[in-house]
Amino acid sequence: MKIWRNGLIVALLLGLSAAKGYSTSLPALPKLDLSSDFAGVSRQISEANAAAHAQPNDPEANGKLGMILDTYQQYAAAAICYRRAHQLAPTEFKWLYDLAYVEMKLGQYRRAVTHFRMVVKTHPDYMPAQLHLAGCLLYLHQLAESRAVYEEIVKKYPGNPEGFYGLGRTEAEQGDTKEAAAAFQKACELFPRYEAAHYALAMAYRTLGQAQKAKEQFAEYRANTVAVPPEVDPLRAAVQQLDQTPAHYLQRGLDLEQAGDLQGAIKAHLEAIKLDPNFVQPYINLIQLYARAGEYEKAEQEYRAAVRLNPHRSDCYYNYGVLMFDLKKYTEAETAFRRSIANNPYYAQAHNNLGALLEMQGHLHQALNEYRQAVQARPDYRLAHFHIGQILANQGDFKGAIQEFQKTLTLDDARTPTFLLVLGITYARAGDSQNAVTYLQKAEAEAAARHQTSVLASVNHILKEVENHSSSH
Amino acid sequence: MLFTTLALAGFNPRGRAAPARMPVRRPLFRDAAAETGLDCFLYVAPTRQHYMPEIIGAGVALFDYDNDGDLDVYVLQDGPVNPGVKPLEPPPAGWKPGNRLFRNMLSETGKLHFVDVTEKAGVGNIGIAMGVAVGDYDNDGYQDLYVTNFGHNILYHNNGDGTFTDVTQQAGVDDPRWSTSAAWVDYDGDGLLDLFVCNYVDFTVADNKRCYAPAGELDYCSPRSYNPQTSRLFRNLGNGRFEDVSGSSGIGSQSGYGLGVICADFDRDGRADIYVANDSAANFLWLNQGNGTFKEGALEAGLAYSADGLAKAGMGLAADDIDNDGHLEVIVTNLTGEGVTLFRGDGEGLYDDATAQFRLAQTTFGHTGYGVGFFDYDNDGLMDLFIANGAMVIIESLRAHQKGFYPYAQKNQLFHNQGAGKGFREVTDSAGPGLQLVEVSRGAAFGDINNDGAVDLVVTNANGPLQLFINEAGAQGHWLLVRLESAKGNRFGVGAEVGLLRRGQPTLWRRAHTDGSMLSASDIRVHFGLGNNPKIDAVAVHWPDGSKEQWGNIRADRIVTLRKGTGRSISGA
Repeated sequence: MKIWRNGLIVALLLGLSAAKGYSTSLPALPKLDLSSDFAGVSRQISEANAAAHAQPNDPEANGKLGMILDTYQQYAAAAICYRRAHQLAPTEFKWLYDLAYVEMKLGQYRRAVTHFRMVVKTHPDYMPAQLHLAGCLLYLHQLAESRAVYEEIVKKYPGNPEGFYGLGRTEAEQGDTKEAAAAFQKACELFPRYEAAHYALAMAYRTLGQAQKAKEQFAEYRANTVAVPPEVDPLRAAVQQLDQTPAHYLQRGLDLEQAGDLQGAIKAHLEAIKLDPNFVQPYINLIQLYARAGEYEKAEQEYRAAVRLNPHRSDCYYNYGVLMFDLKKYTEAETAFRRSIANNPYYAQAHNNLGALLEMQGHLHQALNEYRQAVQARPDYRLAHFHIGQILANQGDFKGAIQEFQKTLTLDDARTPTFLLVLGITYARAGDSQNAVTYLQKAEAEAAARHQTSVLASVNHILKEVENHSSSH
Repeated sequence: MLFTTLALAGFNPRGRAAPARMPVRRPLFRDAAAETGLDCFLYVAPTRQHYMPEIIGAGVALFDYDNDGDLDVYVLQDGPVNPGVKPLEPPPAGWKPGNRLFRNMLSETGKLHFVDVTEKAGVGNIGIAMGVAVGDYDNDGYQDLYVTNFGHNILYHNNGDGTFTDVTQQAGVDDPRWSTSAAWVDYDGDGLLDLFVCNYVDFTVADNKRCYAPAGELDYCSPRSYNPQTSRLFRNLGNGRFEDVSGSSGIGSQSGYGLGVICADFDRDGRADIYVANDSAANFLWLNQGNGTFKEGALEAGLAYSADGLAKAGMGLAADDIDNDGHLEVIVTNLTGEGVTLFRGDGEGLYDDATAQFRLAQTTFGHTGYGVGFFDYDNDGLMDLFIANGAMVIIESLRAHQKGFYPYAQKNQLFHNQGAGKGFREVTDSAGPGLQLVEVSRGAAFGDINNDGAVDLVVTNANGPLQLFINEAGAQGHWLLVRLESAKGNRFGVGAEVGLLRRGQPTLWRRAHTDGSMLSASDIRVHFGLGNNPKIDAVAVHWPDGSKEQWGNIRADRIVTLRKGTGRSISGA
């Protein structure tokens, strides 16, 4: 309430100064009801808030508060701060840009368009502003203007995939599907893993009646999930780096892990723990990350820390089970997987791994039971189907095995050649050489297409054997 | 008296024309829950632990359980997810736990009034309820209930005497996982309703994870924090038992974060398909292959993603012909910052994202949509739109409000279909005081609850009251309400397509269904708004078994029952 009153006073004071030159009075600073479980975040917000109140006419203080609120997705409050900063420093384009950006995030596209237009006018070389302007116009279905902006972008930046993608979107909306397909194609050429562009291209081909090309692009889309061109936007990067939540560092760690930077991922996870030592998720992830880095002792330490914080997390026991398995400590691994299942009976991977351990010990009946529970929890779990198939095949139940192996073929990916190979072998063992050859030939084609030389060699070897065997009969 | 009135109205001593009187505008809807006895507070028992089920449910059903000709209301309630943990707020005084059934006394007394008959009916399960599906699975002429829970589900058989029996175990339709929406569908065309059940994530109380809002405050987790689940399909064997065909049908071949489901013939091959809204993942379109199996084809059909190729947080669903071109459109509600996705069909099984063209992109951007439905509230012949909204991520500005312990409230939205390429216009502000309230709305069911020809609404609110919105705008146009009946199999014609033919105007095609929206079930009767022209040339019905009939000599502004086999058999569309 105190903050609110101060804000009003500031507004009144600034209302006076507006008469001396400002075209509009400053809005009052936002009333903040933010609460955070993290002291660092609360301190960060309250310090910026105090600074803005202490220096209400300082654009930097207002803008900084806006940036901090922005990074925590408090867009409405951030917009007020950015608006104030912009009014106090009208020539400083970054506040106007950030204002337009948060208006876009709030879905206030008309306002955002107005402000992005102003940014583009004064800073025509800041491409992210142009891209957002065109995007907002597209969202508002103001297609002609959106298209014009995108055309300008691709003319000025012919190597920018997002420009071509956006251009294609406006063209597609306007019914110019051929032109749209060409633009999407260009976007895909510039950034071959561009997920959205492959999707849009597939849809354009579909509209044009080019079914095969559409199919190919859908396949590309499936293969490139969540791949977007790297964002080059220094102003937004400056906002994002203010985030001090452990969740932010956790996410950064996961992103780095995805990108193959194991040490970077570990470091980010440790940062998350530093910010909140009671946040159990980073410890759980670190079990796996340290194990992959070969730092088993540290992995075990993280496990113990996680269990101390929360003894019921199924993924904690699961990760520990995998660690113990890798260390060939099978008894410990079995205990861990059982604990994981006790806390989450639908944990398919834990059932599968427990099954594998039991199978190793020769407890086939129990192993089969665990695999079956895995596929009951997740009927699309191909590895568990594969394991069931293997046990059944070894028990001579080829019909049952074939049924299970067929279920491993629901997805077409790198494992497909191996699954096809196993299916071919099982048919051969069942005496069905016709189907055996069919599946082995499929395995051969798939392995060749994926350059899986060792699988290809095995397929060729078995194929010859089967063909020889069938010709001899 | 008349002369005086006119003279007074026209008299102007200054010689100027009298200002035109502004017509008195009645609100479009009136919240009549309290005055009709639908007194029901839906207590969620939120905790500091932020157990995910606290933020998801629950739904509501509108169905005529006693066959007296009016719609009754079945309301679901979440309960405490972990009774061992103290909730942030106790329930209000007088609150009753468990699901509630309210009997509509309109037919008996001539007055819209509800009586709580839960105990007598035996449907007051106390659990953590999520969704409800309504369908007459045994074709005895009484609609049955399937209730999904976080935990074991329940099939209630309607005994026809005002009571229900829990037959879950005998029927073999339980699923102990976290089930959400469910739908009855005769996928194999044998005249028996089969059952589709969405499952969400593998959350367990013991395995509860800690998640944070962007500013670092404890909040509910995204579904991505847990593993997705597979849906279930139960085939009705016709002897009171069902067979789990999730595996053999292919339905179980892919996991998803299923929240909403609707069944319709999306690829126009004459067979019922199943569309599932997945939260934070691609939606599924299970295309019926006609041989007991389904093939997932959402991506190729254009129904998996919005135009940008991104998976959104799919929740509620509706499918209808909103531009009266004879083709289905489909709407999916999503999270705040995503807006709804409206897919326009080409009549041949392909769909494209037309959200912006229909003017729904910006208006829905700031809301998390749950229950949703197309319905013609003003009887002008065009399907309008209602969305029940309520966030799933903390809205900081609500912290200081009365319900600061559960800061997820958002305003619901009503849209008027402007027709002919003009898209939808939001009319919430003129929809009445009840629609100005900000609640955490979840389920929404649609049906003509007072049999006046105007479609009414029932909305559930998490930690809020049940709302009944009586439609006051329906008198603007003529109407027809069609009840289908089949003596042999699929008693209520679930899945039938009903066309209303008028000379010189496009045929209005509507579907007989109870599914869609989210976690909820709507009136099975098919409603048509006719605008200012009451003339009907014929009504055609395309029955789920492929047979087609037509009835002439049907007059507007009434409820008609069309019995299978009594119309003129037709071929073609």
